[in-house]
Amino acid sequence: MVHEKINILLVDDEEALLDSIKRRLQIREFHVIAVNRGDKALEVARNNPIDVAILDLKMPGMSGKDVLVQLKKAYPWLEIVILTGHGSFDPEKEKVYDQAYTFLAKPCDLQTLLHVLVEAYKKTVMNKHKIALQDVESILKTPTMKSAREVLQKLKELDALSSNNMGGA
Amino acid sequence: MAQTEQTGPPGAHPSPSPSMAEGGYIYADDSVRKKYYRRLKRALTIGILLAYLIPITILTLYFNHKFSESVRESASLHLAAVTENQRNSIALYMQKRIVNVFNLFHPKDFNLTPIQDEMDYYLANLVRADAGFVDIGFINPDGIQIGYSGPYPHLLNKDYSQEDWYVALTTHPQSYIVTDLYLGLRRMPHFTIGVKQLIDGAYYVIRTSLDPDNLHAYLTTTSHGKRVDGFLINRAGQYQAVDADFGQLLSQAVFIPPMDRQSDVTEIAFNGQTMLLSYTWLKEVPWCLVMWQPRDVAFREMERIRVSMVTGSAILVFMLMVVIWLIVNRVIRWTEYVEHDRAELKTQLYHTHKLVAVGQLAGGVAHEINNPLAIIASEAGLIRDMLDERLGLECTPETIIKELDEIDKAVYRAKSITMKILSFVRRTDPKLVPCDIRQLLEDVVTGVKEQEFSVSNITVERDYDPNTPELMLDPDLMRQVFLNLINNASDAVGEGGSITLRTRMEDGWVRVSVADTGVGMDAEQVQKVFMPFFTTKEVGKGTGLGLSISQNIVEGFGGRIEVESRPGVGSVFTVVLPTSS
Repeated sequence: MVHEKINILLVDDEEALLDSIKRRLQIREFHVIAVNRGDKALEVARNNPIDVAILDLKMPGMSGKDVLVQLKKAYPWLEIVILTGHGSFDPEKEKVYDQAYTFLAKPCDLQTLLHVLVEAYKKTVMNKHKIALQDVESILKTPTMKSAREVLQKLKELDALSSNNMGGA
Repeated sequence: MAQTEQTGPPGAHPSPSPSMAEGGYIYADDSVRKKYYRRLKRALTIGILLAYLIPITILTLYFNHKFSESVRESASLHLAAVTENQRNSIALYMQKRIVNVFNLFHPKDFNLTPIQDEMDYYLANLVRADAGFVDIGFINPDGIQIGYSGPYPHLLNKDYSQEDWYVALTTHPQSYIVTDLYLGLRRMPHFTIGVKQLIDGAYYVIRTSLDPDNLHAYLTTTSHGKRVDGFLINRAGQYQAVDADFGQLLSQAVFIPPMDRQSDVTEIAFNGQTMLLSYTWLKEVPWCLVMWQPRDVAFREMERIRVSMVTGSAILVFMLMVVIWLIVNRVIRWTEYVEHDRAELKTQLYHTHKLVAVGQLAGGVAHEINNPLAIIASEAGLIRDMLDERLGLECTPETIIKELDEIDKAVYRAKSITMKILSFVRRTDPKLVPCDIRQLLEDVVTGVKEQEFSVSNITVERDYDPNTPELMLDPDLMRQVFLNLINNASDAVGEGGSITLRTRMEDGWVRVSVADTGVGMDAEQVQKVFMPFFTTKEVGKGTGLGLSISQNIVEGFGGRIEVESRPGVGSVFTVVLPTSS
């Protein structure tokens, strides 16, 4: 099954933030599933294909850290971006945070978020299909591709293609 | 369930403002401290002064007493010695006169019928020995004066046989007699010396009259540079020799010594002053020698020493007072300095504590502020997207206003957080007034929360100790504390729940508890309950600062907040305040 869009799992307990980010990503060709609790996130991940997850750390109930660990355990190839407002948060302190793709501080401007999402998705694709970085770069660096959207499109195709190949084998 | 003891002993915690910390105890201000030092200074000065003055006074009094006693004794002894000395002189004088008269019997040519020339010659002899001799008579065994020389020739042939002194002389074994002073026939005070000589079985007697004036020389003497006067009196208490200043010869003396004592020293009042008086009975004559001097004179030496002793003591006491004053001042200054140092250290400690607290806050604050900021940024971006026609989002005033509302909400949320943080670290001095805790609770329950409680159907049970005392507190701050606790309780119980307010006295502490029958907390939550930004409430509803601020306030008043909770049963938050501060 080929997906037209990149599937983003957005987890944050702030409804207003959840809603606005979701809408802004959606109009930029992302498929966003937004949930406000950690346990819901795990449920969504079980039932939907996810390409990149954006996690808040401080949430009622299941914390972002737990969600990160659980997601990585179930989907080792999935890249996860931590988006936190915690001012004194130090990812170096705990080993678990090595599993995250990167950390973004709230408030984060959309361009940075988009860039990080593309890079994270690139990594996801590489993880999933064990493609070396330079191969991906060479595939993406065709002169015809100019915009981020085109790059994503190509990545998506690559992802789908590889999946099909694997499925066939 | 775990009970979190958040505080140590009261006063051990830095208080919420520097001016409070300086006071040694929570909220004590400058004037209280000054008063305390004034009191301390007074107590110290009085205490030390008493400690020095009482022994000095007792010693001074004791030595003064002892000294007076010994001076009095030595003055008495001295006067007695002077008297003894004078008595000896007078005795010697008398003996000489008696011997003078005796000697008249001894010349070889003495005959029992002396002619006038012989009598004149005898008198001349006597007068050579002593000018006091006035006349002389020779009395035969019949008592007739058969020879006479002197200024009263009519005494020749006078019969003395019935005279008392003559009878006494001739019947007693003693061979001489000295009479008391008498006026006699010549109306001149004089006394008689009579001596007897047994010749051929019969007593012949020579009598002679003496003028007592010569005795005066022996009555006044000077001892130790001080004049001592004296007088002679007979057994009947009549002056036999006396200075005209004190009395008339033969008149009754001011003092009549007891006859059963040979000598003594005593004191009498005379002319309005106390006289130290010494007397001794003479042997040859039935007279008593009395020597006296004003006591002031006798004790003058002692007075001088007493004055110098008192002056010395006064100077000593004055010097002691000066030294004590200096020392006390120094001690107080030193104490103040140490206290000031301690207060400064406490203030520094308090500020360090505050800095640590603020530092801990910073992380939480960033998170709490960053979330609304993220919402604002995101909503702003979304509106921008709406305005971008290429993105094809619905763009009507309504949709934009909806997003703007979200922005407003986030802004006010951030503002409320900054406000609370400011109140957390605020440095304004609390004003202390006597507060009735029950009234403060009522202010919150009926004033602020009544409407909300009636809407949510929450009932409030009151269990107040009627003996709840008034406490010195800042009512605004304490209302804030109780509002926080009651807010938490009402959030925990939800609709139809019940909250119990209780006050109790316990060992000098007032315990004010707010109990709810709500959801309760587990041990882990109880541990974290006072941490800034810890909350069990939904996002946006609680900031997690209420208990933190409340604890800060209560510790400022020297108290603490205790918490007891059980999941599903409820929580009890107890504010424990000292009754005296």
